Amino acid sequence: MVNNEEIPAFGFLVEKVPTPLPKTVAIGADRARAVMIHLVKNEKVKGKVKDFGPGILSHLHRLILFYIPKWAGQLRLDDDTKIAGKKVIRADELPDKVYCFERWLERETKELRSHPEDLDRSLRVAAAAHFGITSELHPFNDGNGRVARILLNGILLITNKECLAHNICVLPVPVLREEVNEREIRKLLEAGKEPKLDSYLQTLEDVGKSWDLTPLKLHLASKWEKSLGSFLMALHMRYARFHKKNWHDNLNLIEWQIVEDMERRRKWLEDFAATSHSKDPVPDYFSASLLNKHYQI
Amino acid sequence: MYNLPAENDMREKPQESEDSDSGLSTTFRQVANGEEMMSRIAAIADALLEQYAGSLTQSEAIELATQAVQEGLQKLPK
Repeated sequence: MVNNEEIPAFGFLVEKVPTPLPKTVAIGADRARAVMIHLVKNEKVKGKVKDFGPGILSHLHRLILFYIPKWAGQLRLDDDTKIAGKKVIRADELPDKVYCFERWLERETKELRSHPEDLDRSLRVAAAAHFGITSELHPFNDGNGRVARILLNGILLITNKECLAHNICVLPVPVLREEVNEREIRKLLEAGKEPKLDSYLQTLEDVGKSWDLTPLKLHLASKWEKSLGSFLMALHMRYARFHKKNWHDNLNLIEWQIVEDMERRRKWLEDFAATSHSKDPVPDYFSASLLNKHYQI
Repeated sequence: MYNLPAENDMREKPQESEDSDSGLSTTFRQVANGEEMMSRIAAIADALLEQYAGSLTQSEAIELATQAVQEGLQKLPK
């Protein structure tokens, strides 16, 4: 078990802010998850954020990093960040670029709502949003990954009938990374050796090199398929305990429908992972007009 | 010949009633709540792994996340 006081903060956090306690980090992540589920269900949340529109990134970041008030919801001010050797968007361009990105996200999620169970589209938007935040914008000093992962789960949930109609909102991809030992990676880099990256980080790097979202879509599909499998297995175990045969027969009509939808989705994701795909290019996030933004100001 | 369930199974067998809001039975709702809780803990563990990168193993992160949820997180505002 880890002693909280022994956990060093990561990167430049060491010099600037005190190490948060794990429970504090947990509260931030959980608040953002809860708010995201309200947004998925089109419910009103505090602040100016509507649906997945402008302001959503800072809003989620404010919830996640509430324990560092001077950073919470604030866009990065420095230009030192590099992702896979490539510089991200310059700090002075961030406010406009983030606004354009959020307009892109708003448009895409609106489309998703009008195409329920279009899983390919869901995966594309979720992968693009995740890549855009972590590798293109990298808008915050810290917590970009957390914002991106909460958001991608929200995007995948938009098409879930069981979440919208029956309030069953199991996160499709709660964990993206395997165990990442950054200390080990740093040691290998210092020794001039090529570190073996976690499959999630490797996938992001591959997307950055090829400008093709397919590897990330496949990664998400495989995680989502596992998550659905775990739900269906839990149901099976619970019902099979009392009704040894034909456990499906003990479901009512609504439950039957939910299970059917989940099984269909799982099968689709399984097939998606097993087939080859043509290139799915990273979208142009920044084509939105800035007119509305400046008009609002 | 009937296959009688074990005594424990008889005692634990859920009394089915439907949740009038969602139309789901108690058993189904319990499984859904359990899975929601699991995904909630996993998401928190994921955040801990990012915050304490290199210092926590996945199982330690899950343990800390479970502890945090069990102790009760603050009431979550919208």
